[in-house]
Amino acid sequence: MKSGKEQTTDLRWTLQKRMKEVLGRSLHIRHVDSGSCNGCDFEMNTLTNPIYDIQRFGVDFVASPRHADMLMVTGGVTRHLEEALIKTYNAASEPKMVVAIGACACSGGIFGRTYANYGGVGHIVPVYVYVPGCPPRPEAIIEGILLALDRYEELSRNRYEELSRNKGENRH
Amino acid sequence: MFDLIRKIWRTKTVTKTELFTEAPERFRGKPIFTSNECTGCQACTTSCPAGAITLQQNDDTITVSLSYTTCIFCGICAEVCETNIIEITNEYRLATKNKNELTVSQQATLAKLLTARKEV
Ligand code: SF4
Ligand code: SF4
Ligand code: SF4
Repeated sequence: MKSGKEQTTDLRWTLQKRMKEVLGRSLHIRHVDSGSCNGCDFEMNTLTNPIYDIQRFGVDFVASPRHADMLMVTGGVTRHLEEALIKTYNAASEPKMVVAIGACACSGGIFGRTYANYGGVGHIVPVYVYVPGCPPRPEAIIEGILLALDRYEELSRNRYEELSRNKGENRH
Repeated sequence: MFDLIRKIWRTKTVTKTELFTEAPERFRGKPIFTSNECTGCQACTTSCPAGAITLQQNDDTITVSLSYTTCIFCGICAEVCETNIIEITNEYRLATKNKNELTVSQQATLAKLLTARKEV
């Protein structure tokens, strides 16, 4: 059993530790606004302010998808921004971790699925983690990042096992 | 302006002490079903602005499902429910890898309602 202080220290650096384990480097995020009301975007911006200060764990928001490992998508993908989302997704470098932030990005939220709104990022690009909330708390977004790292680890392990199995079969 | 800076100064960096702090008590988070005494009045489904609650009525049972992916955590359903079976909690950690996990259902038997209808 760990003492209370040690536990909090562990929790404090979980994010950085997981990032080192899974990616081996820092995590850069590109924010994609696909027609949100800006509520979720503000909550994401608070991650870098002095109160949450996520940058000291090595997470940063970057200006180009080509620099990013993770796409954070807000909004329910309107018709005009569908193209932008697809282009951004294609431009992002591997691993293309997509995190859907907010009720809109998860399933259309209060706008629903209409002629102008696709009703969810999942209809357009594969999503790693859903973070519901309107808007979600910054801590919930941090949890989303942690879960996305888990998912990436899972997927890459499966891929590695598959590759090594294929190699074994070819040899026989 | 100075108030704001003072507030930030006093709050300090939240993630320094704990990564996941608890939300304030009155924070509107995850709505939950506390019991299965639903009467099927449909007040929640009609007043939900996001259409997150669906009601499915079979012969003698009724199933209320709430989808957290659509819910905007406004708390109206908890206000209008006549039997108070929906309650807003301050739980906010809902992030998930599997979207199906985000739907909760509550089943209730419609015995009371059915007998009332037979009498008519
Ligand atoms: S989930 Fe809510 S806060 Fe976020 S973009 Fe949609 S309406 Fe705005
Ligand atoms: S909290 Fe609001 S949006 Fe969520 S289920 Fe209740 S009424 Fe609907
Ligand atoms: S959950 Fe409450 S408001 Fe909704 S149908 Fe049942 S009794 Fe009526």
